[in-house]
Amino acid sequence: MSENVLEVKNLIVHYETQDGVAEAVNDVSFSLKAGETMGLVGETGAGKTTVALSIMGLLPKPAGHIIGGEILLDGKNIVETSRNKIKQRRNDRMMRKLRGNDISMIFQDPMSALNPVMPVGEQIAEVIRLHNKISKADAVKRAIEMMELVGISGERYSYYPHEFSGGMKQRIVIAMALACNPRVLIADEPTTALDVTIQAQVLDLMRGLKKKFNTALLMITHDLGVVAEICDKCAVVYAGQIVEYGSIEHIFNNPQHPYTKALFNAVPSLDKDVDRLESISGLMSDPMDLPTHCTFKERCTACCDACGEIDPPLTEIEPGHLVRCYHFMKETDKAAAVAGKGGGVAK
Amino acid sequence: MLKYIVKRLLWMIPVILGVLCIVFVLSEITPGDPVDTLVGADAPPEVKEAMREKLGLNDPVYVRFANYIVKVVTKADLGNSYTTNQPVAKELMVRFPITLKLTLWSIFVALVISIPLGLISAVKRYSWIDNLSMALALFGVSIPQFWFGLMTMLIFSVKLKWFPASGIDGTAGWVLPVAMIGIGNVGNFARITRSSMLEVIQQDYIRTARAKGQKEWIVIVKHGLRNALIPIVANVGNVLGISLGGAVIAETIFSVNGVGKYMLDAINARNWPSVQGGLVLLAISFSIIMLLVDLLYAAIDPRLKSEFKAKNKIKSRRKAVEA
Ligand SMILES: Nc1ncnc2c1ncn2[C@@H]1O[C@H](COP(=O)(O)OP(=O)(O)OP(=O)(O)O)[C@@H](O)[C@H]1O
Ligand SMILES: [Mg+2]
Repeated sequence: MSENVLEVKNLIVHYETQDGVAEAVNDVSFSLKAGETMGLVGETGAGKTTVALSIMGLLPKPAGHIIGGEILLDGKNIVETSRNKIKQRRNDRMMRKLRGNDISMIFQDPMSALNPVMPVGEQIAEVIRLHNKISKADAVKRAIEMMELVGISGERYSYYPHEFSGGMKQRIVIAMALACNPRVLIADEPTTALDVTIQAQVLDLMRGLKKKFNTALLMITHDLGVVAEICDKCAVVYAGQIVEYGSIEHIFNNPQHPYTKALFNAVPSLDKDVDRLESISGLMSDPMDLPTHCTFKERCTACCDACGEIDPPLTEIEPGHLVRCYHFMKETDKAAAVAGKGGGVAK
Repeated sequence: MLKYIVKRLLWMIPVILGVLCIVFVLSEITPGDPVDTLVGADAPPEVKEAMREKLGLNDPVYVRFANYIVKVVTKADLGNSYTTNQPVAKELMVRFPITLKLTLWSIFVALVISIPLGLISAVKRYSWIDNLSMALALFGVSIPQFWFGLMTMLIFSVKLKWFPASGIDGTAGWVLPVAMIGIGNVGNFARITRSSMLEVIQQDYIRTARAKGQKEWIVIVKHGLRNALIPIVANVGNVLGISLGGAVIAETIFSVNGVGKYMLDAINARNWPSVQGGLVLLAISFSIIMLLVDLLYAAIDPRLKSEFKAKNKIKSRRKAVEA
C-alpha cells in the first residue's frame, strides 16, 4: 500500500497586517501519494498560493503565520506553530534542507522567477550543489542534463534569463525545481502566464517528468482544463476552505457543491451554448471579515435560511467525495449544528 | 566593445575643447594681470610690456587659444608655469596621483562603510539599527563638507593631536581628508543601497532562491546585492565629479599638494597655463573614470551588455545592406 508523501491536516493560516487579520486559509486538509497529482482550484484570493507557501515554509514575513494544523512530509510534521524564536529558527534550519530537495515549487510568474544577473545554468547548478555533495564540474554536468531534459540545449548554460522566451524560462524553472528529484512538487499556476500552445507543451513536459521521477504534484490553477489534463484528484477552494474534494471523476462527472457547479458553468465548452455562459455574481468574502456561516451563501443560488446560520463541515457524500454544503449535511449533524448555535433557528 | 571604448575616448576631444574655451574666456574677463605676480606690480612699464610680449599675452584671445591647442597637439606641451617657469605637465604629474588617490580612497571607504549599512537597514527594516544608520546617513548627506573638514581638524588634529593638521606624510595624514570627501558619499550610498535592496528582496527571484533551500544571508548577498548594486554603481559615476571637487577643497583645507591646491594657487596668481593644464587633466581623468564606471555597469548587468551587442549587430547588418 502506498503511503501519503504529503499530508496537510487542518491547516489555518493568517496574515497579520496593520489593517487587521486576513484569514487566508481556514482548515484545509488533503493528502498526496507518490506519483499522484492533485489540482487545487479556486478563484483569485481563495488562498491557493498561501497553502503552497505554507508547505514550503516560505510565508511572507512578518505578516504570514501558520496558526494551526499540521503538514506531514513522509509522516513527519514540518510545521512550527509556536512563535518562540529558537523553535522557529530550528524549524527554519530543517526546512532549508527540505526545500529544493524534498519539496520544490514552481512559482506563479516565470518572467520574474529567475535572477536576471545570473546565468540560468548556474541557477540550476546552485540548487544541485546545495543538496548534493558533488563537485562544481559535476553539478554543471547535472544542470546541463536537466536543461536538455526540459528541451533546452545545454549550450545555453551561460545564457541570462532575458535571452529566453517566457516558455523557455518556465522550462528552466521546471528544470530547477526537479533538479534534486523532489518527492513533492508544487506548481503554482505554471501555465497561466504562457500562451496556449506553450501551455500545452509545458503541461506535457510536466506530465512526462512527473511520471519519470514519480513525483507527487500539487497543481494550483484556476483553469479546470488544466485539472482535467493532468490531475488524479481535485480540491476546490473557496475563501480559504475546501468546498469540494474528490477524484477527478467525482468533480467532473458529479459536481455537487453550488460553487463547483458555478465554476463549470463559467467554462466555455464545445457542446454548450456560448451565450448561456454564466459568471458567478458577487464577490468572494473579504478574508479580513469572514462570516461565521457558510462563506458562499451570498453568491449561492441554492441557499436557504439555514445557510445563514450554519458553517457546514465537509461531508462525505460518496466514498472519497466530500462536499462542504448545508444541503449535503447529515440530518443528525444539522440538528447538532443548530443546537450548537444556541437555537437560533429553533423558534 | 573596443569600438565603443574608442568612440567614448574620441568624445573626450570636444569635451576638453569646450572646457578650454571656458577657461580662456574666463581668463580674459578676470581682473588682474599675471605679469604683476611675475615681475612685481611696481616694475617699470617697459619691463612689464616686454614680459607680456614674451608670454604672448598681447595677442587676441582666439590667437592664444589656437596657439595653445597647436602646442598641445603637436608637441604635447601644456606650457610653462608663470610662477615657477617649470613645465606644467611635469608639475601636474607629481600632484595628480595624490588627488586621484584621495578621491578614489574616499569613494572606496564610503562604499565599504555604506553598503553593509544599507544592506542591514534593508534586511532589518524599521528596527533600531535601521533607524540609527539612516539617521547617520542623513547626517552625512546634509552636513557641509568644508565645515566637517574644519571641525574634524579642530577636534582630531588641533585638540587631540591624533592626526596631522596639514600634509599627508604617512597614513595618518590621509584619514581626515578622506573622511571629509567621503562623508557625504557614505550617507548617499547607504540610502541608495537600502532603497534598492528593499526593492530587490521583494522580487520573485529572491523567493526562488529561498525555495532552493539557500541560507538566508547567501540569498541576500549572492542574489540580492548583485542586483541592488546596479543603481549604486550608477551613482558612483554621478558622485565622482563631486568627489573630485571635494578633493580640491580638502586639499586646500589640509594643505595637501594635489592638483586642486595647485590650481587654486594658480588662479590666485593668474597663472593661466597651470589652470588650463589642470583642467585638461581633470577633464580627461573624469571622462576616463566615467567610461570605466559604464564598463563596470555593463559587467554587472548582463541585460545592458546584450543590448549593446544587439545594437552593434544591427549597425553592421545595416552597413552590409547598404554596401
Ligand atoms: N502578504 C500578505 N499580506 C496580507 N494578506 C495577504 C498576503 N498575501 C496574501 N494575502 C491575502 O490572502 C488571501 C489569499 O491569497 P493567495 O495569494 O493565497 O490567493 P490565491 O488563491 O493564490 O490567488 P491567485 O489566484 O490570485 O494567485 C488573499 O485575500 C490575499 O489578499
Ligand atoms: Mg496565487
